Amino acid sequence: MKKLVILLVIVAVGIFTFQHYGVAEKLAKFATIVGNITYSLSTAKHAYEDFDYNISDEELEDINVTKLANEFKSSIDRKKEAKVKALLEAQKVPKEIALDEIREEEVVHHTKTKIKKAQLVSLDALPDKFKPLKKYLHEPFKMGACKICHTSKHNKPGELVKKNIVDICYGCHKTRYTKKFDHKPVKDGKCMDCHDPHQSNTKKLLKADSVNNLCLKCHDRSSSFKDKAKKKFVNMNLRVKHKPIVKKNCLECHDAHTAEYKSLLHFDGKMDLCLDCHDEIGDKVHDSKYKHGGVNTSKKHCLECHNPHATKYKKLLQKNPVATCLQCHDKQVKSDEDGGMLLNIKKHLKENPNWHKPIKEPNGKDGGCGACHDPHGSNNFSILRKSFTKNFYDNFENKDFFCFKCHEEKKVSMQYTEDGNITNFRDGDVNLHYLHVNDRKGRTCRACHDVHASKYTHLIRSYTDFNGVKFPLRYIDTGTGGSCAPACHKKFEYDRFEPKGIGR
Amino acid sequence: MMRSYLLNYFVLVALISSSTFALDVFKVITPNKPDVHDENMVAIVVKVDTNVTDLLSITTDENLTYTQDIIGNKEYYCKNIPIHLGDNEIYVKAYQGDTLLKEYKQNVYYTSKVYKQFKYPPLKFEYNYFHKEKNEKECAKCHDMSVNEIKGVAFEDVRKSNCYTCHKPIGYKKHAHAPTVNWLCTSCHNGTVGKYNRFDVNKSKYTVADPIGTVCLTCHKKTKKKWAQERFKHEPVDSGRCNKCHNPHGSDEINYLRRPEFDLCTSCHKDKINGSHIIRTYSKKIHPVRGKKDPTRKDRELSCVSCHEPHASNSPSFIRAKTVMGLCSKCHEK
Repeated sequence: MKKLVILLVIVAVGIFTFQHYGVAEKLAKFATIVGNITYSLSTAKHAYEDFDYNISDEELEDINVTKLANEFKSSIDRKKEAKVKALLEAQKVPKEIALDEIREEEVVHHTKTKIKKAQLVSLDALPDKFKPLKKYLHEPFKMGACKICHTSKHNKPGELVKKNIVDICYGCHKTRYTKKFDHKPVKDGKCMDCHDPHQSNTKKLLKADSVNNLCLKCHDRSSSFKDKAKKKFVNMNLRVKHKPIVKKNCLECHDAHTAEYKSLLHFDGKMDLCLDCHDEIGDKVHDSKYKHGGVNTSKKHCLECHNPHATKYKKLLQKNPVATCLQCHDKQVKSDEDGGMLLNIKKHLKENPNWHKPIKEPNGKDGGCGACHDPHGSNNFSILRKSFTKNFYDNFENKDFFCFKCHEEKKVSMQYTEDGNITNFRDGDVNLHYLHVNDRKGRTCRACHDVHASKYTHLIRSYTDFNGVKFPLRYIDTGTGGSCAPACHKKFEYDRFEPKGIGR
Repeated sequence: MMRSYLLNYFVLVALISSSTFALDVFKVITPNKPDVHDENMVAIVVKVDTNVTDLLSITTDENLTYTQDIIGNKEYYCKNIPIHLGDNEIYVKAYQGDTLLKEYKQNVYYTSKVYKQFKYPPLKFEYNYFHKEKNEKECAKCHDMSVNEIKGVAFEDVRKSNCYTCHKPIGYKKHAHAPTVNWLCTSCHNGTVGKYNRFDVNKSKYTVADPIGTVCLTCHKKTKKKWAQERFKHEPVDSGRCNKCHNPHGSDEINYLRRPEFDLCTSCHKDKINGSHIIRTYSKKIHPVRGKKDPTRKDRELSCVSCHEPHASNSPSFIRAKTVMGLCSKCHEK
């Protein structure tokens, strides 16, 4: 009976599959079914036979669970303790400073045995050319131990023990100059170019009366010294000098012997060195919302605009405060702010003869591009020093706009110019600035004025940009008034003395 | 029936035209067919036989007359004349001394989107675009037919625009759209067609897409952004037919509206025309809907738009407040 049922089922399934699937599918299905059956038959048996679940009671007694757990726990604790210890130790022990970083040279002291060998000469017995004695004396010279450096042959007075003087110097001054960049005299072993081996009136036995003068012996363009440093000139005769050079000396930034950075500097001279003292600027450069590509992404960073030694212009700028900026902005430069292209200011100034006062008088009190833009970076767009707007329309109320730093706010805020001196843009005594700016829609300064330069007087734009289309203002100055015919309205005339009746 | 009528008509027109050509006193280049016009003017271009004619006169059915002496060998004469809404008859006459040599009559139709009776011109009138190669060739004898507009920069002196020469009356409206008076024509008349005028493709170089909305909103970006956030939109706004209410060239009404605000709204919403759609108050008076000062808008008259936002709004019935009470309290403060 059972067999019959199974047979029937198989037949039914067979018929079903035969009717519902194609030949390939049938074969595939058949193969999978057969495969599944054979797999389960072959593997199932072994799986159950090989594994034994039963653990005897004796075996269970042997396993001490509590002991195992304790062992496991203690091992974890030990690891933790070790970690904490390591941390504490790391805090206690001060960080070792590499010997190279200590810039002071070791002061050489001569041992007694060495002195004995040296056959001392008393100071009085020194040749006349060393007298009178100077303020600072080289220690061997002070002791009269001439023989450390010189031979005692009488026919050749002053002959050295060794052929190269460096070898003698390095014999005691064991600090070796092994950093990335060496000063050329150091490299060539010409210690005597700067130092006097016997005595001097300046510290470190220098051959000049001060560090700066010693450096300028070679590094001054006008110097007549025979070993003039080629190309690496500094002109310190200019009006504006960097303070550290005047108040202290060159060694504030440079190392006399050797350094890890180019130009023998303590830090990277393009930016890090400057920011070591000028940390306020550093905050601006790194943290401000809008950054100036000239400092942040340029090749020379600070040195794009500033000369670190001395210049003719204020703030140690390389050229005058406008020309410095035009070094880069003489072409369309890509903005770091939004990736757009910035105006070619040089071309713009060339085409438009009427300039904004800071541009016209770059050397004045509030002169130069820096009057409005902060070249180190700012939180206002276009690295402006104070807030302004990008929009054509904006509300002036309660906004500390940038223009009013120099221009009086009355110009736009008073409806009538009673005394008449507030603005020239008036029809009779109706303030036309007010009409444009405060009445209904507030238009910003930039709607009509080009802040940099313009063809027309009063910096009135030749074109105003509205929704991407340039509309001409068609401004005509009549001397006592004028007229405008922009896209905003038809031609309107105004006159200061014979009012035409605008805004009444 | 219809077909036979049309056939007769064409035969008639053909006969008339052939008989006039035989005279060859003048030839009217445009309007040479019953045209439909969207603006209140029609340009008339006449080619004259200078040997015969001394004087040319154009008369309309409103008895406006323009006369023109024939100067030397100048063959072509152009004139823009104003037309009124609906069917206009234009007569062109040529004289030698006092004798009338030839008379030509043509009907043109000035259609309007807001006056229902002039919305659909009769069947014989059609849109005929002028700027075709054949016509432009004839104009090019005197006029520069190229587009001399620099994209994105308006003319310092608009008279230098090539479009200005023939189309200048379009700019003389009280309120004019900036691209119109600055003659930046091709910023809208860019030769594209839209959903509703797709059969006009390649008919002219200067077609404007209908619906015009996409063209308008390329400049009016702020409004586009604002409207996108609103829940309800007025039908013409939604379908992008800004030019239904606004004349994109300019108008004597504010905001380039085709009619004064109240008339414009009620040209579609005719049930509101008697002004009684606002509840009666205790004083048995109806709330005014026009003819009074608007307290919410400075220097404007009360109209539909005082309470309703005409474009898009988040409030039902496009009211200018969140609730009806809020709307009332805008004027009735206490």
